[in-house]
Amino acid sequence: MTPVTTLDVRDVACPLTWVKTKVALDRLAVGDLLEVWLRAGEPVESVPRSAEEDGHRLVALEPLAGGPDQAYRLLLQKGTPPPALP
Amino acid sequence: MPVTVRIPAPLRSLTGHRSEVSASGATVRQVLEGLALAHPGLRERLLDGAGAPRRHLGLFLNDEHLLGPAGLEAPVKDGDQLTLVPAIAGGAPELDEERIARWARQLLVPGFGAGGQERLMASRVRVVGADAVAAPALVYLAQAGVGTLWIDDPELAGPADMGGWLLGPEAAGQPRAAAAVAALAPFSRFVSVEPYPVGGVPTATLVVASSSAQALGAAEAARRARIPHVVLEADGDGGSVVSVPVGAPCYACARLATGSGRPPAPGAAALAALAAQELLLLIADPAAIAGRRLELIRGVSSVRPSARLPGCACHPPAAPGAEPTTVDAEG
Repeated sequence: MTPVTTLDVRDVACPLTWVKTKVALDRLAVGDLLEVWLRAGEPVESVPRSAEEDGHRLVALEPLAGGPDQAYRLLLQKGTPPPALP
Repeated sequence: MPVTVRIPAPLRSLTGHRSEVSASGATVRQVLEGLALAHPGLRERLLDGAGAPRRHLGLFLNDEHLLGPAGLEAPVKDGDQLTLVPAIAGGAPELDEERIARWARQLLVPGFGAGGQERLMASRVRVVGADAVAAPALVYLAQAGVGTLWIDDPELAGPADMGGWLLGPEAAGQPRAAAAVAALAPFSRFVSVEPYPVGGVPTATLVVASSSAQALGAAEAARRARIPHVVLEADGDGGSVVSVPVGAPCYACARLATGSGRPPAPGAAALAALAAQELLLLIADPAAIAGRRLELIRGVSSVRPSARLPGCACHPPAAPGAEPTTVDAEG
C-alpha cells in the first residue's frame, strides 16, 4: 500500500508531533494512507494512540529502515472523523 | 440532474461571458466534468492532472463549502446551486508551519482542524459593538486567527469601557473602534484588525450591540445578507447568546424574552467568550451547530435549539407541495 503523503516529525516535540499529523490527515480523503516518521519515546507512544482515538486505522508501526536508530515508520489510514460537537 | 453553476468573473471568458450556466450530473465531479466538456479550457482551471480540485479553487454546494477530492463526490440534486470561487492572488495565507505552531492547541479542538483553521484565516468578521462587554470577544477572535476583524462602533470610549480586557484609560474620548484596533495590535500578527469599512461585506458577524433595537437591526441585516451571525445580549452578570447559522431561525425568533435592563457586570465576560466561540465554530465548520440560544442566568447556563415564531420573515420558502412546519416558539 502506497501512502499519499509522508510526514517527518522527528524534529518536533509533542504536541506538535500529533498536531502536524492531524493536519496532514485533515488534508487527505477517507481511506488514504499517511506515512509518519517518528522518534522513539513519547511521540511513538502518543501519536498512534491519538490517531486511533480520532477514528483512524493503524496499519503499521515498525522501525524506520535506513534511518537513524530509535526512529519509527507509522502508517495510518484516514478514517471517518468523529462528530465535531455533541 | 440539472444544477445551476455560478461562474466567477475570471472564468466567464470560457463560458460565453455567462455568470450562470446549467450542468448535469449525479455528483459535483460529474457536474464539473460535464461543464468542462461544454466549455473547452475550463477543465484545466478547475481540476489538476489527478482530477482533484485546484488548490485555490473554492467550491460551495448551496451553502456548504466542499473540501478536497472527497468534496467532488458530494451528491447533487435538481435545483442545487454550485458556486465556484477562485482564491484571489495574495488572499488568505496557507496554514504554514508557523501558523500550525501558533494554533497547535486549537487545531486539536473538535470542530476546527486544518480545514476549519483555514476557513478562519480566510474569514472577514464584523463585530458590531466594541464596548467593555465586547472586549473579551474581540481578544478571543483575534487570537483564534480570523483573517480580518472589522470593528464597527461609532461611539466614543467612556469610563464604562475601561473594563480591563482591552481598553485602558488612554482610550477615553477616542472612537471605540479606533481604540480597539490599537489595543488589539499586539494580538494581530496573523490577523488584520481594522475599523469596519463602510460597505464592507463580512463572511460572519458578531453583534454585541448596546441596545435591543440595535441588536435586532444588525442581526436582521446579517440574516438578509445570508451571513452567519451570533448575537450577545448581556444582562447583569449573565445574558444570552443566540447563534444563527444561515437559514436558521432568526435572532428575533430565538430571542423570546427581553432582558431586565441591568447593566453588564463582570460575569458578562464569560458570555462574550462564549459568543466568540460560537462564531468561531460557525466559521470553522458551518454544519457544526444549528441555530441555538445559550443563556447564563445567575451563574447557571442552559442551551436550547432556537425555533421560529409563526409568520416570521425568516421562514424558508416552502417546497412545492410541502406542509407548513411552523414550530411553536416554546418548542
